[in-house]
Amino acid sequence: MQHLEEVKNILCTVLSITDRKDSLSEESSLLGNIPELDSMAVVNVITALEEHFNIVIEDDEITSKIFETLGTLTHFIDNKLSS
Amino acid sequence: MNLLTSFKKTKNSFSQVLKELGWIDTGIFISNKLLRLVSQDKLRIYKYYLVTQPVRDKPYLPPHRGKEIKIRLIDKTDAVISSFPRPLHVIESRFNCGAKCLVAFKDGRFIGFLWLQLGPYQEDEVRARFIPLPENRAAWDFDVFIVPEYRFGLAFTRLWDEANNLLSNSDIYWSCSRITATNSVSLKSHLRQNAECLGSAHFLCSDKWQLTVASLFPYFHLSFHENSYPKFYLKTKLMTSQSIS
Repeated sequence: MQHLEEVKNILCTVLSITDRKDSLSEESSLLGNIPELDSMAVVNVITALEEHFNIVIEDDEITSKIFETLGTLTHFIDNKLSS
Repeated sequence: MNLLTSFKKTKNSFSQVLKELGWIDTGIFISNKLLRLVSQDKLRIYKYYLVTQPVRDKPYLPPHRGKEIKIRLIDKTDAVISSFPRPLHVIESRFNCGAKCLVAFKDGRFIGFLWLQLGPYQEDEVRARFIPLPENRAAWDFDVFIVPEYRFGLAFTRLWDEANNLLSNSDIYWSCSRITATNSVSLKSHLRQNAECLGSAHFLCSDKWQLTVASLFPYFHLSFHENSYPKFYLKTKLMTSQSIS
């Protein structure tokens, strides 16, 4: 989980939940557990991740699966960066 | 499962509900459950928050997103209706009342819909009529459904971009809706999108009568037949839609 802290920072900044940053870990559930992460916010998070990591995330890659936990989201980013 | 484990589970569930809804709405939630149980569903309590949100003139999605999702305004003869997870008579009634239905498709598959009423809306869950004001400048949105496997993808935002487009082109500046009090996720989501809460309404319903108590006019209503219902005049701000960054 090379980029866990960066992904966490981006997530918390976009969702304006920096006060809860320290409580998030790799195993933390995202969808359904963070009320601020709704369908509208997902797009903003994706855009911020693309800009920060200089990657392109295709529409078909935006699914609930990558947002299951902070770990799955970070794993997704790690894979994008290594491919 | 022993009693202690069962008790702990119930306590945790209660705490979770209380955290999400607060004391009043949790009380209503529990009261409704008990009432339905003892009356064999003959008595029911509903509580709605009535909200209004500005029509956006800037899309949620950047131009390169969501192109694979096609949105279409349908009519009551459209074959896609057979895929809707709603009774046919409900769909027909909506169209007969002049409602508009935007449907989302991906690779030709139905993935979601969003309904709009460009005028007063006759509620079908309780006896009530919601009248967004000013007339011809405010609308009613209801029943946004996304097929489960496409949730948290782009279907929801694509539908709303098209809905805002349709409303904007119809000179509509605000859209109103009702949110069930137990749907705190939806309420908070609406408020994050610059929605305003205009008030709340409680309905105690039996098959024959209905008692309404609301924080906005008419405040109180007693109905003994289906053609008797409270009319809620929802006063939105008269303003042009604004870009929301």
